[in-house]
Amino acid sequence: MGTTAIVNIALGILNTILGFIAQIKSQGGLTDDQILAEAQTVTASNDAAYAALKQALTGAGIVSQMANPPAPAAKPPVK
Amino acid sequence: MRKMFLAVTLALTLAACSDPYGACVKADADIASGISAGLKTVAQLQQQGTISTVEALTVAGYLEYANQADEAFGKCAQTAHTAGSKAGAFTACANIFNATLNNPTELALIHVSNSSASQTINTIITGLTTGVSGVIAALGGA
Repeated sequence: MGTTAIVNIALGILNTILGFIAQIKSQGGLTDDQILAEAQTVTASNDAAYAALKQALTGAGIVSQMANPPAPAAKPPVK
Repeated sequence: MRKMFLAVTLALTLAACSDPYGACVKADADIASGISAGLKTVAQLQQQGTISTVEALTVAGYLEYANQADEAFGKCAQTAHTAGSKAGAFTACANIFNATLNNPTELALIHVSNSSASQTINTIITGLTTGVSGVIAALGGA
């Protein structure tokens, strides 16, 4: 499978995610906790989309490796 | 365009939220949506041959970095909310998010040769940082 075909698959995944987001937003009237759950779903989907895209691009044998971004840690201040 | 989209979305979002927690989680969700759109744009630019595979990986890597920071921001806001919204807790979460996005080491990795594509990528990234700056301003120290 060529790079174009693989990237097309990754684009398909991203389109599915964006459609999912639009569907959630159209529902409206969500509580703050539901919005947070929505955000967590979308960020998890972004993780998957990035992994798919990275696999698509590196899997074609063009790039052997790239820097893995460090996971930032955020905690509220303790007072 | 993306910058404008995010700025407008966040302005509307924050105006509609009556408390810092609501503002933070809505911003969390909107920024996640912006990152999704950004990843799609990067994939399309690569597919069109406007940016190289290496460039696409680098920019997508930054967007994933921003996505992880967004995840952390949401968890931080949730923890602050659960803990009783102590003064400055939400703003501290947003400041950490902002500092993470503006990490010079990460930003330095982003380089796109094509000037048009570079402008597009810059708009996406500026949109994210502008959005988070807007959140901080809207929180007003809460």
